[in-house]
Amino acid sequence: MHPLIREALKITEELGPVTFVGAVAVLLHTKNTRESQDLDFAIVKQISQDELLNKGYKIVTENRKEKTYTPRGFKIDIYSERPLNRIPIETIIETSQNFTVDNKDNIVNAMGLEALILAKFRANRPEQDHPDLKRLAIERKGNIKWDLLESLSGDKYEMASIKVTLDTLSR
Amino acid sequence: MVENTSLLEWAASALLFAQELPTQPVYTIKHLGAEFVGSKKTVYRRIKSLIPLGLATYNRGNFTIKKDVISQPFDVLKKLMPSLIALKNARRFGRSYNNADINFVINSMPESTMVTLDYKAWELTKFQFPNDLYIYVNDVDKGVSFLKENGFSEGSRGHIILLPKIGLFENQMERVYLDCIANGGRSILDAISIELLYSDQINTKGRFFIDTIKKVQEDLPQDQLDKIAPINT
Repeated sequence: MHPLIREALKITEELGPVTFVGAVAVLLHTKNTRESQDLDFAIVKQISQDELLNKGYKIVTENRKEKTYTPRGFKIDIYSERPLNRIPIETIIETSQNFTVDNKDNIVNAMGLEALILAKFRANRPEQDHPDLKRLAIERKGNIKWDLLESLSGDKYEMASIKVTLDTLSR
Repeated sequence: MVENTSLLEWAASALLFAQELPTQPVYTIKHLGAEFVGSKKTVYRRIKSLIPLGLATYNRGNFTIKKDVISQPFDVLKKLMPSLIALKNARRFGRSYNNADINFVINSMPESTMVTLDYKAWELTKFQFPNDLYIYVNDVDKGVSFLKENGFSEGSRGHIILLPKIGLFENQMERVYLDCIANGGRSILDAISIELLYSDQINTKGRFFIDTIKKVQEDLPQDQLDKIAPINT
């Protein structure tokens, strides 16, 4: 099992139902990508610092910024309030998808394909989002629910642009 | 090297044009023509001159550019030429299309080969998990024959990539760093992490967005971060 997926599974066991976004989501959808050792996830109910500390998580201040690490040393970012690339957290969770990650039927929940594409398209970083979009276009274009993507976007010009982007990147 | 520089000079106006474009994963010529250079034909001609360098792709009126690579200063682009040409001539192979392919090749590589990009960057920085095994070989044809004799097929989905040895390899750290910049995309993050950790071994320094540098600094594993503590104080 990929180390990030193993870690995602551990986090799910420790913190309850969470929806992974970013690296883990791309990895689960494409099985084929490069990711750094940090995990981002969305959760409806905010987790307190005490709760995290009780479960063995570490909160440290580095370069005047607070960072949270899992008991195994993976950095995590938790999204519970602010939208992710203008997609509300509730929507990300509602449209999320379960992935069976081993032969014991263990499940990791991650952002749905359509929300992930929209988030990556809006984030628009050439070093991260463009290669991820290309990978998603090559591996998953045939699985996209276009109606759902359109309703998540809510903007016909953005949708037209996403379509052209995915068509071109998938070739 | 002279030939490489001429190729770059030939593409100079296209590079300037591409540097001015807004950041997008895909551009549509009909939407850019008048706004940026006056005619669709000019845009097409410019994009075409970037294709031999692996800096652009074109398909039915739409194109992509390696914005993060094109944004490098001209003197860095000159140093990137051997890497760009090697990557443009890369040949990709697969057999079982998983880690078994990687392990087989790592265990059978002759000493004269040099690993670069994903696996080398991972060895140096532990920043991003590796995906593809890029190796420089003295003789690509021999490498291809070896892989084919061992059941590998050439295609776009394999994880083994053979690169022709073009340019200088005396400073291997710098070569890996330049390869990472030339490859663009997520390899840019590898380049930044290499520069943060091994700055004293690199003479040519790339130019990166400050937000990207900050992201790498924030996400580097703790044990690697300790190595760069003096930079942050």
